Amino acid sequence: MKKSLLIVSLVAVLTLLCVQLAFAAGTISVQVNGKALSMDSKPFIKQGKVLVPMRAIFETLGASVKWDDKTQKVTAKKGSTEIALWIGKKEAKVGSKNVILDVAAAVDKGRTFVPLRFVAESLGAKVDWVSSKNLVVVTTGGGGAAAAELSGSLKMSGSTSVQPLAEELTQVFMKENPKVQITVTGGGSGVGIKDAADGKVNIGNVSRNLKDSDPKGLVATTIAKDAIVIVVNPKNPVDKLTTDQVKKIFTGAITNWKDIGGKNAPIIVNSRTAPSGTFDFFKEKFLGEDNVVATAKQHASNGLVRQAVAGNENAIGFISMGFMDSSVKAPTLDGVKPTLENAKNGTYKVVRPFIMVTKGAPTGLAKSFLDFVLSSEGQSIVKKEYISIQ
Amino acid sequence: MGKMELENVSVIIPEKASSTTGFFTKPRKPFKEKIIEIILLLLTVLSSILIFFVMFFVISKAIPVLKASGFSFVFSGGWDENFLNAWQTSGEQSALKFGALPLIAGTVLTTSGALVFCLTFGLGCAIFLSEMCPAWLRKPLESTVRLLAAIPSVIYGLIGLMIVVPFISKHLISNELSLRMIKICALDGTSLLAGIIVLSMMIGPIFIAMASDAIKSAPKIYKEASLALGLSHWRTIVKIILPAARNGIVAGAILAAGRAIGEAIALSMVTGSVANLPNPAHGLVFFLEPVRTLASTIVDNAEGMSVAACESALFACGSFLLLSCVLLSLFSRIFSGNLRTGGVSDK
Repeated sequence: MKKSLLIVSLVAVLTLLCVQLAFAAGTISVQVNGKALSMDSKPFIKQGKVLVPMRAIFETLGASVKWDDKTQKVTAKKGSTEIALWIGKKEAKVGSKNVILDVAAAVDKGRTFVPLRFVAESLGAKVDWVSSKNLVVVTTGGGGAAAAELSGSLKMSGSTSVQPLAEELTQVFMKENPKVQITVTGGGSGVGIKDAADGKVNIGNVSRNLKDSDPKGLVATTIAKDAIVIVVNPKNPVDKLTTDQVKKIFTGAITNWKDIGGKNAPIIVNSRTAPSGTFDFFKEKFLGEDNVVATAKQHASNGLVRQAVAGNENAIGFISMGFMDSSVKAPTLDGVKPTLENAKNGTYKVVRPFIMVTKGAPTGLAKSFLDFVLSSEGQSIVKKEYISIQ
Repeated sequence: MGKMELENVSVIIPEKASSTTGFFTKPRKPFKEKIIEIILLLLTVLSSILIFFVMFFVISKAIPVLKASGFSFVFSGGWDENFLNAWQTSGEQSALKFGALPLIAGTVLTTSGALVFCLTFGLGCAIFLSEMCPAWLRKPLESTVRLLAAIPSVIYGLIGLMIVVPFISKHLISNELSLRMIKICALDGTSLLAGIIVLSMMIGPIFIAMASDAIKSAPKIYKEASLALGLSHWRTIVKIILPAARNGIVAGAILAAGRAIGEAIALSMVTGSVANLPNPAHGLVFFLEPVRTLASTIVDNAEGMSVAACESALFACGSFLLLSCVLLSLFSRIFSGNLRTGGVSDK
């Protein structure tokens, strides 16, 4: 009885194994930096060369792709390197240099396929062929160390304005590098600077430029730009403000909405606590040397200001554009609507930098993360709600 | 097995010996027990040293500001401006002067307001629970009260922010009043009153639980004697039971006050986040004015820790909190001590 069971299970295992092997033999797999490259269509071999779907390989290698339908031209750009290929043509270009390919780029079932070795090597990666496994191993980066899979943990703290963006970036980064663990906490720009300087975190998030009074030895990397929006309650009829009016409201010279075209009601001023990066920038941009009025409510985060403005018809406050939602209303400022487009094209001018600070130049995992943030992939995440630095 | 028996024997024999002779006093303890005793002793000493270390640390950090401000720390206002100034000049000598009067007033007002609520309504609840509640209702009510006492304060803060604050701003503050006061302070519902209500909800259950325990442990014979002499139940409660349970009730109030003084998050959410000193000359509007307590100031301004002057100012707040907690715990020791020695024994 026992024996037969053993034999049956052995046979079952063997069959499964064989199926697996046969399956593996039929397909070519591609590994980039130790991770399998996920592709929506299968790569194939043509005249001894492996061709892979264009989008998968370019995006994994961190290059941006453009497709010109008219000339059937594929352009990929990574940093200063630009390569160009044409469907069905053996000529290609790396920078300004002409190259002749063994196999041209091809279209199969509506997907564009590009020769893997040419593409990867032109973009500075190393390509190896493991024939026993039908496996292509692509390794990026100059040194051997960079090729290793990233692992370890990073801690970040600081500005509540930067926090949502930082969280989004870390989530994507962690998905791509499953062995990396990054925690992001708030606290405010002041906390980010102090924690980074004290070595409590690897990266401090700051929503203003570094000042002379900040601890020495911090290196700032600007990762994005963000607009600050003056917000009022959606029930408030006021829908345009001027810089001068904002100044007068926040310094207490105007205290009635009636004076700027609203109802006969008091203006409840909501501000941020002094160490906030958002406050720092707001004061510099609107108040100058004057201080915010003493009756202003002092909140510790963007979320709390938004909550306070959403909860009171007569309230006014200022928040990072990333925190805008339908619970508050943004009047035009000097006639300009505070939208992401206007901030990007420069017509809305209340824009400040988001920086990530490290103690000394970034190294190790912190450097890898910052490189990712500055890459076209990282900046495409930035672009969704903030202003990219490119 | 054999070893265990041996050990048992070795413990029992000396005890017998000591009880018969009465002279050979202490039995020799096994080695293991001694080790454990020593470890426990060390841990106890360590934890009490830790408390002193915390005090020393907080006060030493607070000294720069306390020294520069002197008595004006307690007797003058302007905290928010001081703080902004300290942050911007990043701690020059002139920036070390802080005035925390509004914060201290905010702490005292919210705590004492909540205590008044507790001592009236809470005491009523406690009397009902321990003296009048029908038996079938007592268990569920008591466990509800204990459950309420264990709810994290931030939940009470949220309830305050979502229900109490909008209620106050809708029903108690008129547009005219708010307009009249806007130059002095912004009335938007976040206020001293909201703080008192939320704090009362928070510390009420603690007080009720402690007070009903105290009432229950008042000597039974007093009550029986009083009833036997023909006094009504009410009169017995007011004249006999409450005075007998007085110390326990006061100890409960002190514990509740301790929690109220240290409460930061919930109050920071509902009291208005501005260092404003409410003015009693405004009449009842006094209760609608915003305040900020010492503890919520530490939470709200914690971002400023990277500048030494701001850090020191926050630690100065902390040292005041520490001081008031030490005083309160001394009080409660005095009262709970009296509880044990005063009157007759429980049996």
